[in-house]
Amino acid sequence: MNNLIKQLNMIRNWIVMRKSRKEEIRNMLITRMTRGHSSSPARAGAFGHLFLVERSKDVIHVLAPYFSIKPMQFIALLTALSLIGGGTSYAAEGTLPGDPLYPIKIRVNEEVVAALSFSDEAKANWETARAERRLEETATLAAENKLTTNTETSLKTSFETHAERVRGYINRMEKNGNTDAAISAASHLESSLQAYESIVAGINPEEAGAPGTETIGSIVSNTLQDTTKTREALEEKVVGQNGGPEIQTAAEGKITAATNVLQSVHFYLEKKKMLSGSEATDTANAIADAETQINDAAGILSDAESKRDTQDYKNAFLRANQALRTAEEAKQLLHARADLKLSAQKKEERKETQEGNGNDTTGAMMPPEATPTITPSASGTSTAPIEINLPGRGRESDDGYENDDAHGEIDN
Amino acid sequence: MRLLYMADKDMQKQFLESYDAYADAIYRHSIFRVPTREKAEELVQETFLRAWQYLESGNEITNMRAFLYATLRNCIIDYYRKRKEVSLDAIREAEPSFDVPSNDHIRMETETMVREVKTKIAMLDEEEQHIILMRYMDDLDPKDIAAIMGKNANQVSVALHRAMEKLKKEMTS
Repeated sequence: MNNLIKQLNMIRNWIVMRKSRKEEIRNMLITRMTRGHSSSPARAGAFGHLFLVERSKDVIHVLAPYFSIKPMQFIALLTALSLIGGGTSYAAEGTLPGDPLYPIKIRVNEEVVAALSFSDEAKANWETARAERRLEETATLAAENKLTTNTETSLKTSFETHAERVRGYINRMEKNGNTDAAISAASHLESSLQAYESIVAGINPEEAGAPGTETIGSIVSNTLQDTTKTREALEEKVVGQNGGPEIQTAAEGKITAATNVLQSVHFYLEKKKMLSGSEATDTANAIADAETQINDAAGILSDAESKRDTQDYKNAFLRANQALRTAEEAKQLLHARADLKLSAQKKEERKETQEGNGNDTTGAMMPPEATPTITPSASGTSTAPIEINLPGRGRESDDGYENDDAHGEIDN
Repeated sequence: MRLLYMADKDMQKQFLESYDAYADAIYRHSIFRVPTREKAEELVQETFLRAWQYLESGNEITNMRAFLYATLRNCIIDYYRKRKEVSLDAIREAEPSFDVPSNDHIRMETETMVREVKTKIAMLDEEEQHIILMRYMDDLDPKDIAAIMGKNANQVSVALHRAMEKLKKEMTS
């Protein structure tokens, strides 16, 4: 019961009215009080509707420049979404490749969220979430023995596309001098990959891949290594600055961010504990592992605070970011193991498997006949503007996947 | 005439202070009871308009907070009478407004959490929903809730306990 009360109390602090709307209603009340005319509540309600229609027109004009479509096309998109129906859109969310509604999930739901993410950091975080979704789908299908080579290839391609987009946004943020946001986005992708590396490590499609084909496990490992290097280089850029007020501000900001994330992840853990009850041992183990990892994150954060107190801002910054990554990784792993019931391989187990196969890290999960080939990531970023894919546009595979969906979204 | 004018000005000032103090709480309660953020905002507008009309008609409000919740409850009942049926799907898809000082990833997580709680609360009886939201979203104590619901504090405490047990069951089902 206490956990439920904690959950409700936390939610209470999160929900607030939009400032602009609060101000609008206040102004309306002032006008109403000073004019003194009486309009019935019913009329006020009707006025409210009219106001919303007017406001949505404004929204269309405000949003339209961010898309490569005109206002009328945007209206068409909204109409298409309403025709598809919120229920369909919602139902599509839990689908997997091969399900009839899966194309709605990836080409309508996800594209709409992508189009409505405005900052580069928000875009990068959403692309990270999409990459995670592809890994979740891969692992879920594999767990159900439904992962075919074709589906795995489609999901790998899509994962790489999303990861590449994240890298593009990180590069652009760095170029625009927004190094801290670039570090956050890189760290977010890194912690996510760190968690999913153990989830997808043991996956092999039901049919052996073509020789020279990378497994999803090796792709994730390589992407993780690249992301770690990127993040370290970005961090070096920040801590390499002189010890002026900038690094102090950066350290303070990172400690606050890590505290918020840790609090949220801790709450997520408490919720899982509350809901798990007498569930299976796998969930109990996942919770125990997450708790250990969250405690580690709390210890690292405490170290960051000590360093801040002794004015060692560089290390305070680095440690706070490490705490943040550790907490996010714990959350991801717990989500995958407890919610999706996916099994994870511990690092030691993965190492043993790799040594047993006589392969290096990159080829650890390859089918025996396949030779690992590391394909360098596609370089640079496309200059194509953002597009919203409407259903029926472009071509799809049997899995509902459009394999050539690498249309770049990052306009430098 | 002058005195009446001053009285009006004072009343307006006090009423706006009440709006500033309680608008977010009324919104928070509303967001759990209706499917969309826009509708919750309309309920806030309607609640304060009705309260002002009541004052304007020469009536007196001794406990503004309690009066606002009672008015909100009537507005919600009116809304459901007009709407007749609101599906659970509509409640699930509602888009609450959050102020989470963290990244989008955590934001998505909290949105999911709120949607989940909202869906489960919607499964309770009208009075159970009202009592839980007043206690935990609006932070009203049982005595205040009792005043709003026309019950005594003891009855409210018992009803609250039962409602929370039921919600807990829904959350774990």
